[in-house]
Amino acid sequence: MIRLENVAKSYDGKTMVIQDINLEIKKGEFFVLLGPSGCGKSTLLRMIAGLEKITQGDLWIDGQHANDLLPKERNLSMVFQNYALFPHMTVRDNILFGLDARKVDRQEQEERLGKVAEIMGLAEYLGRKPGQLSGGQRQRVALARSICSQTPICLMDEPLSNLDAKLRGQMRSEIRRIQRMLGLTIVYVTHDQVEAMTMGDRIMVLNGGHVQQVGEPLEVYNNPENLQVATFIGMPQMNVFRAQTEEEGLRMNGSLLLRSRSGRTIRLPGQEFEAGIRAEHFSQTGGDADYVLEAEAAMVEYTGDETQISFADGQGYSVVKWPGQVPVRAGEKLELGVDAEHLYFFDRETGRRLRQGGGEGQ
Amino acid sequence: MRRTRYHLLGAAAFLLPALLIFLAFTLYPFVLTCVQSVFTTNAKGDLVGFSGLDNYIRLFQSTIYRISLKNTIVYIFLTVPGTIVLSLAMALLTSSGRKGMGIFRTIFTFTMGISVAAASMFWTFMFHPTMGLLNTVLEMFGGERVGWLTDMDVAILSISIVTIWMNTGYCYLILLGGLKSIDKTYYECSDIAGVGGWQRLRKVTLPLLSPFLFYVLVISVVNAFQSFGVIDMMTHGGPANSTNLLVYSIYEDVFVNYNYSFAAAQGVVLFVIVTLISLLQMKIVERRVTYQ
Ligand SMILES: Nc1ncnc2c1ncn2[C@@H]1O[C@H](COP(=O)(O)OP(=O)(O)OP(=O)(O)O)[C@@H](O)[C@H]1O
Ligand SMILES: [Mg+2]
Repeated sequence: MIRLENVAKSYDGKTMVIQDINLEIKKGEFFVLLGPSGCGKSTLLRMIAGLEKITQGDLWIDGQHANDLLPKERNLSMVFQNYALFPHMTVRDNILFGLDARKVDRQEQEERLGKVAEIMGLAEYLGRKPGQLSGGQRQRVALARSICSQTPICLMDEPLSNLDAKLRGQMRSEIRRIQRMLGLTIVYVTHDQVEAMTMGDRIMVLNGGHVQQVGEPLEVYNNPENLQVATFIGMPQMNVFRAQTEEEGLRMNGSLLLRSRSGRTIRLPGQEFEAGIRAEHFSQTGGDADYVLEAEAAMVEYTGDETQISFADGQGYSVVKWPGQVPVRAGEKLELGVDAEHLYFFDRETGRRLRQGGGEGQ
Repeated sequence: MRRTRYHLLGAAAFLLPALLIFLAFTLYPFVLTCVQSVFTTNAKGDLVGFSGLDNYIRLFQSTIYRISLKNTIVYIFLTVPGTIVLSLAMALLTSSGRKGMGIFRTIFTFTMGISVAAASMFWTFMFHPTMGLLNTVLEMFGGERVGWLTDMDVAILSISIVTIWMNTGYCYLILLGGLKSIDKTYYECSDIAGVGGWQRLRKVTLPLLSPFLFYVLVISVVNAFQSFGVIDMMTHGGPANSTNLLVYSIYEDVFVNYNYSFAAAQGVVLFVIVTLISLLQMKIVERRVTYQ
């Protein structure tokens, strides 16, 4: 549906804002562009929309070379972060905006409006102006406009970032539901990894204008290809230690010892690397885990359904996350277990994922 | 209780200077004018005797006053749309970020820095029957000379041209600022939807610009009612009262005819007209204005 080949963008003709983008987005796919602020997500989306020129490379939409097509010729719609609802038009006129220009006849417009208003629960607000709507309702109008245009592709640039947390959760599933129902191809920009994980069929993680990884959400979560992806995805952030192999196990940040139970040694090229462990991958007792780490609880936080404990790791603090309300007091000694499959290793220089036993997964 | 009184005193202290200025220079003259208009006055302006509505009755019987009222209306219908359409067109043309537009912006706003006197001199020369640029050009293309300031039917048009020329700079600046303040995602949204050209101007740009257009409209109408300098410099209301506007007529009655109370009545009527029209604009036009 959308194909990018070696796409790059420079605003000033000197520095590249994004580079080497190769990507194919399939029909009916919910594709998420994820990355920190300033990494070039909006730029990429706006190049697909035709709002920014493509400096290098090729864009294909529906099999057609699209680099030089005008935005209106690309047959797509866009939902903006600030919704871009016209304050002087009623909800109805906002939703129908552009249909006259696309030569959709009046009767057809009414039909579409009726249907969309029902799907989005906007029927009773059609006569209002955007100024008289709540944030969530405005968001819905923006979405309704996009759906009403019946373009096969819909681009969204952080559409939920102006909503409060609860509404965001609601709209997430609502957008997903409508996308499935109508079979839309959506390219969705966000810096929120929860949105990316819960909504996307596939995620592309961008950083500094480069693609870090493309894959299904769980694939990216479970098998991050580098340190940036590993630390960007997951809440709380993956714990990362400077690690050194020793006889008994791994020395972390030069202080803590991750003791090997089975006597297995970690085989990696080189002796020094970064080791990563996700907060939820520490078990509550050493038990029969492959590795054991002894630490002292520094702070305990309860969210109600989870317990987060931080411990000093010789560099700063690392975090442990357990389900439920675990009775732990600050200062208490902990024996934390870690299974071998939950240990991630990364090259210290490049941040690339290292795998034990010569490239195979551990 | 004591606290609020203290606060009131404090507030009064801050308001006092502005209040005094308002009393001395706005309210007092206004009240005095109202009072004068129902008296007869001598040549020094002293109140001589109460005359009731005599001045007002005379006013509406006066041919000159009716002519100046008609002239003012013609003048408004020439200058207000003229100024707004011209400045809007210039603002639309130069609001794009294209290179070189800065020069045009400077050119279009430079009239703001020119005094009425200088502008009148310049245009008097332009309008000169034999040596003026306008007639020279007209003759070059085989046209006939026009009595820009001497022909009764043309003079009001000439005065309007000068007024438009002088006011366009300011209105242009306001509208340009207004265009710049429109969020560009509205345009991007239009681009994607395929709404362009006139459609976009009518459905997107003008409505979003409406608060600025409204401001420009109100200002232009009030300015037109109060126009004086250009008339005084260029035509003195002539020929044969064809450019005699309401304010100029007041001026003549005070400083030429020394008819203070008659002028005061005209002042009061002008005040009522301007107030009514402003209210009308607020009521009718502002309903169609959307603030972002
Ligand atoms: N019009 C522009 N001119 C010059 N540089 C720009 C322009 N727009 C964006 N940039 C630069 O390009 C880079 C990427 O910007 P972009 O807006 O795509 O980031 P983003 O990933 O969408 O960030 P955010 O999450 O904050 O929206 C930034 O470094 C930014 O400074
Ligand atoms: Mg962005």
